[in-house]
Amino acid sequence: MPRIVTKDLIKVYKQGKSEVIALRGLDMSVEDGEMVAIQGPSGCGKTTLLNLIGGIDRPTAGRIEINGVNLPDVSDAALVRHRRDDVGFVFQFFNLVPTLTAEENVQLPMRLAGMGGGKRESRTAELLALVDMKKRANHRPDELSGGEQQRVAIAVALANDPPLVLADEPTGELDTKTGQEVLDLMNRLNQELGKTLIVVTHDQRVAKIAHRILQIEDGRITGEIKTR
Amino acid sequence: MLGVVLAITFVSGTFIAIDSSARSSFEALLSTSAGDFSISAQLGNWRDVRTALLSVPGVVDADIYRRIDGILVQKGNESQMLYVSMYGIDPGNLPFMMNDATVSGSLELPRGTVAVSSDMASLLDIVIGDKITYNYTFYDVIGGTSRSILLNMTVNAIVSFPLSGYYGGGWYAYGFTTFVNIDDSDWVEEQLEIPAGLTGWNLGEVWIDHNRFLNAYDLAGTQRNLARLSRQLEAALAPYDGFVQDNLSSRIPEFEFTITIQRLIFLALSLPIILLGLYLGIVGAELGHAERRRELAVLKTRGARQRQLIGVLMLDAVMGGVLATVIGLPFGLALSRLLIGYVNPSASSLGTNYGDIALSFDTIISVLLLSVILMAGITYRSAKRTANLPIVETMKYYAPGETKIQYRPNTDIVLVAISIATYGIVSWSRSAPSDFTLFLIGIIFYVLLPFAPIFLIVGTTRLLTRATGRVYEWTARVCKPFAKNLHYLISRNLSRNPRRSANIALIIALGLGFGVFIFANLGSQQAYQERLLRASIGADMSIGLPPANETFRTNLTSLPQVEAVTRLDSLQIQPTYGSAALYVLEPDSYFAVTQPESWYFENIDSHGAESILKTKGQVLVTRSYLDSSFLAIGDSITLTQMFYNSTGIATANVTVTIGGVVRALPGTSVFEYSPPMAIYADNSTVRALLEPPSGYFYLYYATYLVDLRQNADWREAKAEVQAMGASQIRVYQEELEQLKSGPLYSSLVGFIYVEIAYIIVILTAGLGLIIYAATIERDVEFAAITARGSAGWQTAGLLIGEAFSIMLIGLVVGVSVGLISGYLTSQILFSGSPGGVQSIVPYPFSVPAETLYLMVLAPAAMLFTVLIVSWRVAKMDVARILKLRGG
Repeated sequence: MPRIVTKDLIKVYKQGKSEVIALRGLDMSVEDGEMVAIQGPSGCGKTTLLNLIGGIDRPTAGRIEINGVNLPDVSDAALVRHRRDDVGFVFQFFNLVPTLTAEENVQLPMRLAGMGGGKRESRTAELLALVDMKKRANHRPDELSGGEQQRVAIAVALANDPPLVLADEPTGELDTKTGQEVLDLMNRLNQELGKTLIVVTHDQRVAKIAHRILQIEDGRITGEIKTR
Repeated sequence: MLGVVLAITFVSGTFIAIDSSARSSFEALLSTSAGDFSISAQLGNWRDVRTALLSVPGVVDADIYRRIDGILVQKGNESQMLYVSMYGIDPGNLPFMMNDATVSGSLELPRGTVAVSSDMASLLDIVIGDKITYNYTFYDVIGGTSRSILLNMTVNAIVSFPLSGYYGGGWYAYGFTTFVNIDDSDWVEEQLEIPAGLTGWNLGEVWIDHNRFLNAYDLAGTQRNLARLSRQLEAALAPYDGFVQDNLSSRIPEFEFTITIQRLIFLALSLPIILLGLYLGIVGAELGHAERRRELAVLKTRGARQRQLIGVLMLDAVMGGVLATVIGLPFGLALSRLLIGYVNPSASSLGTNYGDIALSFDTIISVLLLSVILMAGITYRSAKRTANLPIVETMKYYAPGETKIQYRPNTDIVLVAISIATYGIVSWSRSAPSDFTLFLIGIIFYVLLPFAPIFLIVGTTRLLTRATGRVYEWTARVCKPFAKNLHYLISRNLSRNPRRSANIALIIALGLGFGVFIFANLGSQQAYQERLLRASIGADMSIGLPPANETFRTNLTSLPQVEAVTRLDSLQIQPTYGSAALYVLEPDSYFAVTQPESWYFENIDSHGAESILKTKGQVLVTRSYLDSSFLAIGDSITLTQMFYNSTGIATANVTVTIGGVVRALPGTSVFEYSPPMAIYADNSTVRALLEPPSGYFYLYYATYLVDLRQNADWREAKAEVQAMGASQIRVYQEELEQLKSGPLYSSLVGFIYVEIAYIIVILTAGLGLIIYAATIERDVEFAAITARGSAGWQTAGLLIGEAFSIMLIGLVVGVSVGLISGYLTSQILFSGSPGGVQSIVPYPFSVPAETLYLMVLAPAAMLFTVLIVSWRVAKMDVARILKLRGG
């Protein structure tokens, strides 16, 4: 059974008196444990799709079924739980809390989930080790390089062990070498930890590690490439 | 800029209110003059003189009277005589001094009748219908003989003047005065054979149309009008050999000075608002510069020098100052309508004219200068710091200037030390023996004294909020109900971004500290005035001039409103050492009626004092008399009393022992101005001083002190006592109400209340704006937290928690320092200057209920504002923000 299914997904943004249709009835599905890359020109609706699946926004119409549950139908509180427990977000600009250390940033979602102190600390150490940031655990974001910040952001996304990780241009702000490191890490998440990944990216290297590439244009899936 | 705009609005509102109330201030000042012009005319009939005056255009009224001094008055054939002034008055146009007088009987005064002043009536035991005798005595210096001419008159009225009977112009309106009809002045002078050169002149007061001749906004024109009018009056009086005195022109420089002083006083009173606005402006400037740091960094990459960047920011500030004036003045105009009733402490009860709206050039320039200086002041440091930020670091998303702590506590430690030292040295200098070194050192700290609370608040708040993160951890624990699992984030955010948190806490602490300090001093001053009043009056009511008949006390005691009565006689005796007044008390009733507080006594209490007085031969003395005469308890002193008759003096002596010392006793002294020199004794101890030989009299003043029943109507009681023929009646409740409704008191208190309300507005609006600006800056951070699994209101709870933590710190520091500095200032400043006359009435420390309202209302208003701002965070469109900002 596919983990994620969208049917006739529509999202319309109102900007003053005009309307922008970001998604025009998008259908797609993602299997459990799959890594899917989403590509398309700027403004085609990639980030909007990610936001809807991640529960950050609600569609204007259509269905988003995750493990059989239609997200638009759930309450705000359930949506919060979905964001906290089911999804890990990795942003292009990292979006770490500037006043917290790397360690404290990773612990933030765990605290939101009510995880106890001992378990929190051990899991944090585990995650920072996973992303090779244990030595920089006590540094704040302004003391870290872009690649280091993104690795911490990945650890933050994995804090509550979500089955689904959504990444929006994760290598967009990184140089080639660092970007590759991040991609390798994401590949490990998929291969070793079995996470389902949906990655919005312009980076062609993602094609090498993703199972499928979905092409979006004008708010619809226009093409699909199976890479593995 | 908001802070400066708020400060400028208040200052401009105050100045505009002062300008707009100028007419009222002018009228109030002039209302104390006995006539706009005073005239005297040696020749002619008084009616002709009045007609001549009224014929001058612009004169609306004139009252003429006559006056002769140096006439003796006695009641019938009794030996006691008094020198009196005799006024001839026109009952239809009474002179200025009669304005506040109370008349029993009729002032029509047919020939052969007279009105007498109540003090004279009381001393000579005169009632309406009694006969008195004018006695004019000629002295033949060469022959050594004298001749007295007598004239009998019937008393037709008794006139009571207010206690403070001095009016402008130099005429004393109290003190043994008699009145006859002005038409009979010549007749009285003829009857008494007063020589031609000593007879009374026609004297008078002229009133002009103020609206026509006086303009508070055109003083030069006013001077000209008065000069021309004076010439016209002189011309009118020329046939009567008259003389005109302009009473108004000399008041004009006084008025100009009054307005200047008013501006300075209210500017000084507005200092808390200016300081708050300044601090708010500093925080706002830092926020504004933080927002523009990338823009400035880009300019640097294009070749701009640091000084150019600072120049740009300073130019922004100057223009901001001008803009603040443009915005502040209209709002100030609106605020001035609220303030106008409170900036005129000299307003009299004659009515106020607040119809004007005056915006003077002086006000515009002063406000503009203040605004630009404030804006430049708040901007410079932040501009310098922002322009100094390294380019590369600034271009990154996370600016280190926001999160690195660059704090040195030295300045704040010095501020706290200076304030503690100031209070310590000023307190110590009041009791230490004075010398030149102490004087020199003391001057510096007395100058620093008004700033000590500010130093203490600033230093303490910054030390608490920047030197350590512990305080945020404590306050963050209080915020757990709001932020739940994210409460730890509150203390992290605050302690990692301490400068902004410290400034906000400082604004709150300053605002609350000012408010509490002002209320505490106001409350203490009010409590002191009440205590002073009670000490001066002595009981619920005092009757200073009771009728001398023996039934008065019985009638007084039987009044339904009266609980108890005691009599107090004061005599001017001569003790062996020094000089003092003797007060003869009835110990039992005196202490029951006055119920003296403990501060009156030294080493004894009320019962001890009563016991000493009841011991025959023992007296109580005041500390000031004891010390000034180098006496001690147990010493004996002899009291000598003089008795008088028309031919000579007799004396009586009594030797007493000093049984105890008091500061004073209620109702027996003028407490405020000089240390009381008094001896207190029971009737039996000093009986010999109270029994003159036959045919002799002595001077004494009898006062009755009255304890009114609970909930008795004092107005009714006073009216009944007046109907018995008593005067100089002082009622504690009445004078308390007068104190609170007096123009000076109500003006200052009203201004302070408006100021405190404005402080709350500044705190609320300022805090709201700062937090709003901060949320815009932290939009992405909040959106990311919400995206990672926080509910909207849980994320908003972070903001509420941060604001609450800061508010808690500000509240604790502000209120504590406000109370401490209020206490120290009230005890130091208002209990008199060192070396000067100290009030023997101790200065209480009283915190009025309004302080609690401030402590509750201000934080409640701020929290409400924070809630409104937090709504934005709770309901933010996470997707849009993350998408827009690169999510």
